[in-house]
Amino acid sequence: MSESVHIAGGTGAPLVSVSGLTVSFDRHREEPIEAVRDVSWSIGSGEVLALVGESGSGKSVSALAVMGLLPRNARVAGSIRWRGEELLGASEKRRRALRGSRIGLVPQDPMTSLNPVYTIGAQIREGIRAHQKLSEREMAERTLELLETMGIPHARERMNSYPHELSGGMRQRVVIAMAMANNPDLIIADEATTALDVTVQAQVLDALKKAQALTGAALLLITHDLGVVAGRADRVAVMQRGEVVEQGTVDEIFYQPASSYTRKLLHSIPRLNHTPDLSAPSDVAPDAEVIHSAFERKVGAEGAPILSMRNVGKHFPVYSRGVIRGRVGVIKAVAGVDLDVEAGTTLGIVGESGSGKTTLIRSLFNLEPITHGTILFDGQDVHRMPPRDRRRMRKCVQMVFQDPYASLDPMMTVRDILMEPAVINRMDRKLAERRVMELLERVHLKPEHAARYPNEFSGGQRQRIAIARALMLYPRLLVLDEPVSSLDVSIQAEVLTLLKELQKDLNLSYLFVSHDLSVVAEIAHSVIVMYRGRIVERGRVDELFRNPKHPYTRALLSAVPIPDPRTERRRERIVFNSDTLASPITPVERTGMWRRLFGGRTQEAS
Amino acid sequence: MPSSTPASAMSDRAVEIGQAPAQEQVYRPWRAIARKFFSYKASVVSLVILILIVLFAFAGGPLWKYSYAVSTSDLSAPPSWEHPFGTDHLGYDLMAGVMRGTQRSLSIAGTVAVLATLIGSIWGAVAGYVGGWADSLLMRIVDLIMIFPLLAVAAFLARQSQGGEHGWLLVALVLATLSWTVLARVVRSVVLSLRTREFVIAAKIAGAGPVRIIFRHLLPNTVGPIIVAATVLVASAILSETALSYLGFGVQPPDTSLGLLINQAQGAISTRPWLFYFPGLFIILIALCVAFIGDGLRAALDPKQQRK
Repeated sequence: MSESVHIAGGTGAPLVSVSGLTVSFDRHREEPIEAVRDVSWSIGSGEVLALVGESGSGKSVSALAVMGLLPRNARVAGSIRWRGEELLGASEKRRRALRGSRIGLVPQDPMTSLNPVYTIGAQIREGIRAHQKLSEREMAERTLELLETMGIPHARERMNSYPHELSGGMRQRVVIAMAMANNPDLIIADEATTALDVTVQAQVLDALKKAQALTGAALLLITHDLGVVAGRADRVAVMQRGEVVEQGTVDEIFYQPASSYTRKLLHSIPRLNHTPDLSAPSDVAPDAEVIHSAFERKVGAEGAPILSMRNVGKHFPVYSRGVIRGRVGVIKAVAGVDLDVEAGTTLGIVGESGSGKTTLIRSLFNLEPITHGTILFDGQDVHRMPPRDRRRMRKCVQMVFQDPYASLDPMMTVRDILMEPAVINRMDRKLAERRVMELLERVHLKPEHAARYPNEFSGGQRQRIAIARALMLYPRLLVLDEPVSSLDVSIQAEVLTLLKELQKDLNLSYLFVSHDLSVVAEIAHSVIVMYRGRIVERGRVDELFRNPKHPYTRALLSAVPIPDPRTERRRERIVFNSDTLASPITPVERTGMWRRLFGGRTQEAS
Repeated sequence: MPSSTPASAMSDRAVEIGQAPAQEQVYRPWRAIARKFFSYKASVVSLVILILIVLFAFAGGPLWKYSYAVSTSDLSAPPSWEHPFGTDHLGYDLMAGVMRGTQRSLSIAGTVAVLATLIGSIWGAVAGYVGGWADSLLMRIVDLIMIFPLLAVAAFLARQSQGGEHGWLLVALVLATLSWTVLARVVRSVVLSLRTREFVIAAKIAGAGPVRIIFRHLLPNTVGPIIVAATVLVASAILSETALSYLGFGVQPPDTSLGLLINQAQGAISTRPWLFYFPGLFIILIALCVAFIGDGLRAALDPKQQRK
């Protein structure tokens, strides 16, 4: 790996040097908007530079400018040099020659960057064909080699798979394979792991690093996540509102941040306070019963559970492919979950996508009726309540969603959005109006914001509006579904602080769902870890994070990025091999005639 | 108060909060929408022109010295001060004809647009939101209506009715029943993508029923595509009416419509071109104005479109 000799202005011409770059976008009948202002950075061969910043900081725009992929209404000034050659003003032909062959791009969402109607093999070959003269056979061999390098199992068969047949992490590795297909000098990874689960994120980052090491390329890592940067970058440039506020080696940035903004960013990253002890190997079998790590159920203690779930399950039918769609099995999205939320506390549910956590919380609102089990609210069976009590319960349990851009009706003013639950539940109008104003104040918004529409607010403000809406009906339990995952780190911290404050003042109970362990560690009192519809481990936050027992929990914890370069470089990851667990699909028992006719179809669906 | 029941907790806290009434907010969304609409020059100009056309058509008739139904002694006169739009070979004053024709065409287009938009958007929203067998049933009915050949149906109805004073209303009703299906399809497809959005789920969790979700959340968020489809409907209704009148259904001479006027001028394009140009100009003006007004309306109703 390269040392930090490649500081801008060091010996020899850097691979890419950007100086005084200013990009503004022309807008229809409005002042042009400046996305990047007088930005300078450079990257040497084989070096890893991280461009870090929150949304709107201009980090992606400067990378697009290097690629020459800015939209037509962009105005670019300054200079971008490629090995000393000026790229601004260069011919489109020259820039196209650089793209794809000398520069490889790994964008954020692999589902949209891969064409769904071509096999992945064909898409990798297309990239090679554009820049190299190889025979079909050589090309196939190269493709296979690339996929194998990226750690894709059964690469030969996978070449003929379509993007939708692969998992998110697998797809992203295919995209990395495409980016390195022509042995580029520079790989740009634009938020390449943001959409992925932690364990997958760690794997993909390792794959990126491997691709970089193999091709000797420089790596431009664009991210909002300082944790991702810590163990992998040589140098870091921190961007804010279109300007570079600070540049330096990774150790300088993390241990002696000069600017107050960097300090604020570092400070607002939620951390796992208890570094887990993962040195000793786990002696727990992966499919063992639920592990209660130091989990004391206080029977009859002051905190009676406000919500209890007993053996709750939700099954979805699986159909075979083909003309006659026989039901061949069920997916147990949630398979027998027990949990308790103590009044006034927060229960965190941790799990990756597909672990059943969303299905579980939707069952609370009867959006997905459960297949079996009982849900008790305040000791009363939810499904056996008389309608009057059920209506009352509905007011007591409210929800905050992940994406504040999708959860507020864009055609309604903030006032109407907040009023809606009150109007539906026939709250006195005067009282409700007053409640709206009081809640706006509670979530640190101003009364005059009531007349505005959601699009006039930032993500963090919108999430606070969503929280205010959930509070309209004086709930006692809030279900928070990844409430901070789509927010910038500094905003995350604000919203978490607000949630804690509200919990204390209003004696609220939270059911807090997240894939981000450090966020859960920050807010939850106890945690359950879900994997494939089951709870694999549960316990008090400090206990569970200090001494995780289940191999899956340990893998999760070992994958959480730690914003500390020294620790991060030394870390070893625990990989959890999911193959040791049974398939989540349970075949339907078929007898006699049916088995003879359709028995063989079970395989297809899995 | 963890032990208190939800109901008592509610009243307790309500009293606490009652202390701090914030200043009442002046809340007039319609005023803001109007202000935004009037900031679009093309839309405002179109609105003014359309109002002038409406005045010309509805108030002009009784004021103008000639009647569309009474011929004059000037045969085939080109436009002049006496006859600004000229006359045809029977001596009918074309300006009187255009006034009457615009009146009829506007009535038909307006009725079709309002009826078809109402039926189509509600139909499509219900189908898209409820889903399942209801969706299948509703959309198969739409398919069925779509395969009705417009002209055959019209020709059949033409035999049943004999024009008359309310002939135009019948034309409008037939056109509306045959054209709302386009809106139903557009609205359904938008609603299908909206129904799983989190703001709809949030409303459900707050206890909203299907009627509230459809009218308060789904339809307002479909307003863009609805307006686009409705403006197209206005123009196509004017043109469909031409075809129907040609078949002898609906608006019949001596009553007239813009379509009918153009139709009658067919044979005279080379000899008396004005007979063709003036009604044509009015059709184009109306269609353009409606399209621009629709555009401004769509932008004004959509809070995502910011204007200073």
